[in-house]
Amino acid sequence: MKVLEASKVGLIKAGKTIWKLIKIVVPVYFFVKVLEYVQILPYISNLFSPLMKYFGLPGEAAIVIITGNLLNLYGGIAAMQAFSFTARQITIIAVMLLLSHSLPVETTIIKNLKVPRILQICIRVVTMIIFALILNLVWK
Amino acid sequence: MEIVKEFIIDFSRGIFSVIMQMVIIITIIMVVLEILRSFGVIDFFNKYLYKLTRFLGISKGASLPLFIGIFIGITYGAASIIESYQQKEMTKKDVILVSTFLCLCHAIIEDTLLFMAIGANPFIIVLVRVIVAIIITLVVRFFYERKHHTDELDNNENEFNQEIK
Repeated sequence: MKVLEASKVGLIKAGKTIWKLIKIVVPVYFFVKVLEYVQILPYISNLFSPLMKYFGLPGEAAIVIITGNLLNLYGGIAAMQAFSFTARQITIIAVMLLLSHSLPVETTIIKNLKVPRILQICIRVVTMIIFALILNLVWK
Repeated sequence: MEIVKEFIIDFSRGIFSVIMQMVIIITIIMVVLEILRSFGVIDFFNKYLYKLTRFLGISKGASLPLFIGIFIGITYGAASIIESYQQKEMTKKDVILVSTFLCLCHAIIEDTLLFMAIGANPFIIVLVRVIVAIIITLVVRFFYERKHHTDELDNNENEFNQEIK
């Protein structure tokens, strides 16, 4: 009886939470899909490719980092397949992408918890840059 | 026109699977948590998880949402945070600190396997991620506590002034 009662409470809570999250995720997912179809990412990446050498990465890595940040991890990994990176480069890219990825979706979810989006983006992007620089210097 | 059609199909398919996944995982988490809570297991977990997470400056009720986020994913961590906050098991400070941590470090099993599959070093990526998340959370804690400490001092001073008057 206790289990049934608890399950009922759980289902109600789940319903409320799911509805809340659906309202957040659907519009952002739409935005991300549009971004994917408009194919603006290669142009943005060209701007950033000269900076990649500071992380010990070739210029092509910019498209991977930008795609991962603006779309999602799967997009970033798909972009990686087009180039050949060394194991060290892959690990540095992985650290960068894991610290900062899927920004449109994830910042919207956390924004719902009253942490400003701009603060989240700053935290994630700045830590991504700092720790990629450090990893590149420390790991010879 | 063809591309619009393709876009609509692609979008619908994608959003359908995203929503289905959310519905299934959140329902399971919420029902299991509620059953565990009714048997008092949650309090038992919280007691031990709290020992691990105390140094981050979060309270007892915040450990479970933190662990859900770290292992399962940011969306589910957030869902659990919303729930705990409404139950008043988490304070505003907890929400900010846990969100900061989860921002940088979440879904470590799925994400790590994903990158391991393409040849990244799993130990380095997990270690860097957890350490970075701890450092940044402690930095945010420092600033948060400093800000609120000064607020408290101001309040005390005001009370003091009023008493004098």
